[in-house]
Amino acid sequence: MTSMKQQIRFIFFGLLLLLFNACTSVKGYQKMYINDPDMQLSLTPLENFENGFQSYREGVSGASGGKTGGGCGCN
Amino acid sequence: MRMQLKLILFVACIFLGLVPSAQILSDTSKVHLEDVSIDFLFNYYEQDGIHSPVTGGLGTEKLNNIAPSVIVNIPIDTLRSISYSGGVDYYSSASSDNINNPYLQADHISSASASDFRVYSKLGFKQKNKKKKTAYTGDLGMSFEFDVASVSVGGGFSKISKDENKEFSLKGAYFFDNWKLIYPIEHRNGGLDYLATDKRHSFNLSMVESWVMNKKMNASINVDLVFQQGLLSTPFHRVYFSDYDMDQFGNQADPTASLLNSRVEQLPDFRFKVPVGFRYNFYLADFLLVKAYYRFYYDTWNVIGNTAQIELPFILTKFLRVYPFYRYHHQSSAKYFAPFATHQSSATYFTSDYDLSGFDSHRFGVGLKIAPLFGVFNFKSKANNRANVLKSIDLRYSHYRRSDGLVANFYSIGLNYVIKR
Repeated sequence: MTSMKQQIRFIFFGLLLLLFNACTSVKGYQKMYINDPDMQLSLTPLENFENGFQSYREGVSGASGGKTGGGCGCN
Repeated sequence: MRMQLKLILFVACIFLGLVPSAQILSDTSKVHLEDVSIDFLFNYYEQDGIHSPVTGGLGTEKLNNIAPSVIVNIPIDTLRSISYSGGVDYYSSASSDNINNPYLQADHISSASASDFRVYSKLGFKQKNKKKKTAYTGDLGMSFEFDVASVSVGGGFSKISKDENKEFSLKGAYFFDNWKLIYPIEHRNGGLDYLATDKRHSFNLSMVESWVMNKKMNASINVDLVFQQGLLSTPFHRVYFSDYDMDQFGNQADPTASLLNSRVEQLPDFRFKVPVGFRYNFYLADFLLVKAYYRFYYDTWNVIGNTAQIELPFILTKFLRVYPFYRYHHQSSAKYFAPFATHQSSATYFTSDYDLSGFDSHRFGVGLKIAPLFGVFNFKSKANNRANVLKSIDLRYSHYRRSDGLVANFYSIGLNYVIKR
């Protein structure tokens, strides 16, 4: 259990480091890569479908822009 | 009275987008409206396993689901848009069929619950303020299937920073589900109520902060708070016990009728969930992106989950991309879960639903996107005198494996169609 907690902390702080590393102000005309549709930080409609089913088959859902509660689909 | 009526009519017209907003009226320059976008989606899902909760954690979980759906986004002007999404899930479920088959007989007469469909739709509205760099959203939704009717209402606010490199958004949603309580056949004795309510209330609050980190990197953090209250058990889920002494009402059970010694699943009427997700996208090279996702999850039923996904979109040509991906998920068991016939009959809450058990799961697959610069094909419609373009075709397949033996396959096709303004 302790090792699990350590793993979670390691991943969490690793991601934080990654997030805040090398943040620079980017002008509108420099956003050629950022404006690529694949750089969107939300799910595509097809991913949303998979995510919806995943939320029924796992006791875990949310924090992905998809379904978090309500409705059934419990078959 | 007339003034009041006019005012109400004016507000209704603004909401429906029939009156241009003040910002547009003040803008005398010619503006270019965004295109009308329509996504046609077709999904097929299949699964099989041996731990159905309908038969107490033992028995087939075979299920097929066909789900066509459509998503439409219509910009009314440069600041406002309306959206609609809707679809049908048509499924056949061997597991649901066993609601009327407590003895797991292979040749039992199939019941109406062997197949069913769900229809759903959602209407949304978005209003932007370009000067303040804010946006407001609202939506109304509903879904119906044989045993559940749901309505939902939601609203949101988002604000972009002055340099447009950061965005904060806040969304709230309320779902009301009304269930028809269908118990396993052996428990439909004289209208006894095993569950305290047939209604479920879900409140979701979602906060997202996103950053453009540099020319090739962006990231977001997403925190959801989910409160659920009311019927959280599924009425047709059976649970079997290792020491069956008393029935659900405290009466002495009949020890000779072992297969009838099931009870209806009982779970608390409250659940609080806290999922926290991180997304990180990086344009590694002109032909390769890295998309990473991690989520930590905790809820008051003691389910703790860790989910990680990586996707590597490859840009093969200007109009062809391939998306291999892998997802790993681990979760701990809910404190109310135990396998078939291992619960103690003295327990207040019990379930044998393996969706709430502790397991690891793996999902991997590949997507393909065809999106030529001028569309897959285009034509000018005589009906609206506008250019109609099939912009892209998406294909996606993934395979899912859960450590308890459940296996599933997802097949999806998406067509993005636009009507030029």
